[in-house]
Amino acid sequence: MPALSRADTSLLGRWWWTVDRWTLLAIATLIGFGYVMMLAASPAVAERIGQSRDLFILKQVVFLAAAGLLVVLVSLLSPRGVRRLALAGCLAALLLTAMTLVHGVEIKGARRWIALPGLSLQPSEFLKPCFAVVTAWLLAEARRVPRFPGTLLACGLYGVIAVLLKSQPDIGMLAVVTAVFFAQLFVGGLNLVLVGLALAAFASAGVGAYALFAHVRSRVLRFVHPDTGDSYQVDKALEAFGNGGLLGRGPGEGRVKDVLPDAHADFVFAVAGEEFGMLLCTLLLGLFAFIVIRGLLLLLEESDLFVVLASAGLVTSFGLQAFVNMGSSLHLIPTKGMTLPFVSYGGSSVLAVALGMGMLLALTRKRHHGEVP
Amino acid sequence: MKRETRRSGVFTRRAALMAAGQVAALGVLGAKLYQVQVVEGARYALLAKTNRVSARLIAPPRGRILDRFGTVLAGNKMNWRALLIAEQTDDIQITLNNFAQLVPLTDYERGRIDRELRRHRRFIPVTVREFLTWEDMARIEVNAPDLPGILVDVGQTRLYPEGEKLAHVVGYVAPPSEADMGDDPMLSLPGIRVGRAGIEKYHDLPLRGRAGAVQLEVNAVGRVIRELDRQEGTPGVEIGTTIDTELQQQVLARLGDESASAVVLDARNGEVLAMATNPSFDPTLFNSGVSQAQWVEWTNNRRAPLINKAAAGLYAPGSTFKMAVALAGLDARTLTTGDRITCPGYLDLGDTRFHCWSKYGHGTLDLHGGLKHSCDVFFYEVARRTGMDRIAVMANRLGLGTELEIELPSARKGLIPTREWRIAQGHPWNIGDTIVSGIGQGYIEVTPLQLATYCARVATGRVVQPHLTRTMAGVLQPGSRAEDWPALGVAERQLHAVRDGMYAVVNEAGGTAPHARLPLAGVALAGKTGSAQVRRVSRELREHGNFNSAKLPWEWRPHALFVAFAPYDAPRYAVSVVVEHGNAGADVAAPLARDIMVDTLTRDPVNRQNPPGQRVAQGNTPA
Repeated sequence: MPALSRADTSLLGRWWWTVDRWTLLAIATLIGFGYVMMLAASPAVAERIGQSRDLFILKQVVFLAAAGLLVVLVSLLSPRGVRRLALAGCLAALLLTAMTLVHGVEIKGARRWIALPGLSLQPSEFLKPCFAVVTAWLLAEARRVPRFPGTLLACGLYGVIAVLLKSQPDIGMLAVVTAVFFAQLFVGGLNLVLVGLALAAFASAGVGAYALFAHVRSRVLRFVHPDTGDSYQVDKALEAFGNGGLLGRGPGEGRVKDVLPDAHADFVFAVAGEEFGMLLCTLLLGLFAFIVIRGLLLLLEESDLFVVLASAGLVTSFGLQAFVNMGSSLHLIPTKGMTLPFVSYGGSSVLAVALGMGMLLALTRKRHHGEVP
Repeated sequence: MKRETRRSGVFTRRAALMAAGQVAALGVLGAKLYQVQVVEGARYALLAKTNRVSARLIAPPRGRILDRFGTVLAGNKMNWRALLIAEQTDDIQITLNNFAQLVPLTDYERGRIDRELRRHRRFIPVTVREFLTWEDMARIEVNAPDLPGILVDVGQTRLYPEGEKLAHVVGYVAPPSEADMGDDPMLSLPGIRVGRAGIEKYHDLPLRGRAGAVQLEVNAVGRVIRELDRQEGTPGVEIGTTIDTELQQQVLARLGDESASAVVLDARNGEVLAMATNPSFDPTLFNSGVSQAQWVEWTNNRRAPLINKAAAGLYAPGSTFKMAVALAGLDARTLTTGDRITCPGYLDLGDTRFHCWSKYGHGTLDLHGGLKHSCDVFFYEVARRTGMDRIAVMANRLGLGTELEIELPSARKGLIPTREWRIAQGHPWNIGDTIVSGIGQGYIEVTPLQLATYCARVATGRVVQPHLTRTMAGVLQPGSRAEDWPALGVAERQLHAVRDGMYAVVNEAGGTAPHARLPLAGVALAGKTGSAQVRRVSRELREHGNFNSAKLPWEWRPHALFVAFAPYDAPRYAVSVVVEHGNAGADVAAPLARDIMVDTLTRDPVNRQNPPGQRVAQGNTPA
């Protein structure tokens, strides 16, 4: 398929021969799958919420196309370019996230969105990949330049984001950001005692969230005692999986999308399970696993700390998000409003994930040693 | 550089560790996916398929009704039937016409089917024809393509092996009416029956049982693809009655062709051993709906086969009422056992003369003599002294004119008139009304069952209630022991005086019922005759002297009654016999009562060791 010669030294030519084409293929497949799932789940949802189904679908088609383009464009950047983009993005997203507290649109009890003409934007989605890259840079710089207070700055940045996300509140996102930061510290060689302390802090934060936020508590209680509360969504999702069986009921034959309000977003995995069966779900799971594992394995050959930490953060963010979404649908963990990367409906989510994946591809491109800074 | 390498080693180790963690997490996801989609898939699939799964009730077998020795009085048998589901055929009439060519349908049946089709929704199966033979079924199955909407299934139908013998006691079942269906979805099933009379009606709810449910997978047109789940219902409770079928058979044989009824009680606990009503009817006819012709025949029959004469037939007790009058007098101290009253053959009260049955009079009599000769004047006088209200209270205590706790919904209360009742009717109570009440005539109406109960209470001094339920689901019900029943509250001395009079009626020379004497050695029967006038004997008829009730048309002849208990010295059985228009109790009813008592004492059902409870328990294991 490549029409590009190895000798081609143009920007695109060099990109093609250095980018990790396996991950690229996996991402392209995911985007294609997202397209199919959107066609399957969205008409029913559009009909229910009273929107024009053509417009509803068209919007997501545009977003998916934009996401594909974004992945490629961002992956063209050099690691330095990625760093700059992330820094800019992080500042912008931070600002916008702060703005949600003042001008945010309240949806389902949380202020996470900023209304823009034609769409509502969730800036915290973009914060995730940018934060991962920025902290990686700060931590790596702290190692390289002993006097640079990188670790402190990274902790400060994390603290500010944590406060913002807690205020929205968006505990799911906070958990992801925390996990990303922790993963980076861990991979960056954090003292094991401190790792233990961090894990303890993580656990107590979980308990705190349970104690402080009613919606977190209700979701956990529903998870632990499915009989006592309203576990309608999870019940329906599990029914859908069971209904799909090994091979599924066939595209468009699903029922769960008619009865689940979030079928196109948080429970899209259940729609996939019902219509395409376990084999395709396993394939989907495999794609996510492949991207995550390949991303981490590529780091084994990498010697640049910034690249290692940034990639680890991005991969963790991506993998954790997928895990939380699928785990919620399968009643493995309490329901948490988190999208399935590339597959769930939603502009912010798809573009933010594309940004992160583009950065990952850019960072994992083959380079001559020492080319980085 | 070495330090750099070591650090890099830490990075890669930890990155690998992270990768392993992620693999583990995703592995858990995969495992859960497998569990949910494949392992539990079937269960969730069932839950999700509500649209395509149709739940249907399955009728539980109706509880059986047994006699006291385990003989089946009401059971179930297989019933192959053809059903029609209206929504599965384009034209109901064409389907029914095609069906009628295979299995002829009468106009009456067509009318019933049309009626039921109108009454039910289009997806509810309606019975076209029940009790199909194998040949009918084969014909229907072969021609199935011409019979859209027809399906053949097997249900259960009620079977009464003893047929007419116990029709009035056991009762019968019939398809539920619209009104019945409100509370129980089970009743909309085809072939389901509800109790309409007798024990079948009284114990209908426990007999019904609880419906089971079957989950069927059906395709778009409602055809059953396969059965997904089946929960058997709970069969109805088995009712063990107090009846002795053999004795019932013997009693019926004694009654012969008479329009008559007889009740045999265990005097000590009120168990109804036999309750015979003649003529009777075939209870299975109600199963599928009684034909118009049959109904007309029953209702026009002046011997009223559908009426349970023993519990719902109302008769004036006649002279059998005299024990109640005597006890009322003794209790009120308006009469002592030594009081003597002279009978000149009549009692004049104002300008009205009340005749004794013997126009020559009985001379001077005490209570013993009054009962023995059944002297009317003696009891006119006792009634006059005691007053109607006190007589009514005593009669009610003895079970006459009151609601008995019998498991027969059709049982009637009868009437013991009181001053208050008559005034409520808008008439004054005359002293003459009290006088005629003294010999059980006038407004008094009682049932044969009440008479037997009355006799048992006099014999035992306990307020026994007649009852038919001995066991439910094999468990003995309360009331089977004499101690379960409270004392009557009448002094034993007074009861004894009355029993003594009843003994004299049968066993002493000059008593009114010598025919009732038992042909058994060492066992004596005590009893009382009665004849209840259907038509008031006018004075001129009496004075012209040619009054002979035997020459009257059948409907105008008086009823013949007899109540008895035996053995006299240790009362065990109480019997009442009423022969409609049988003339004098002494001639017709007394010998019948004697024969029935002989049968009962010979068979002695109470002391036969074969309690039904044990039989049921043993019935579960193969012999």
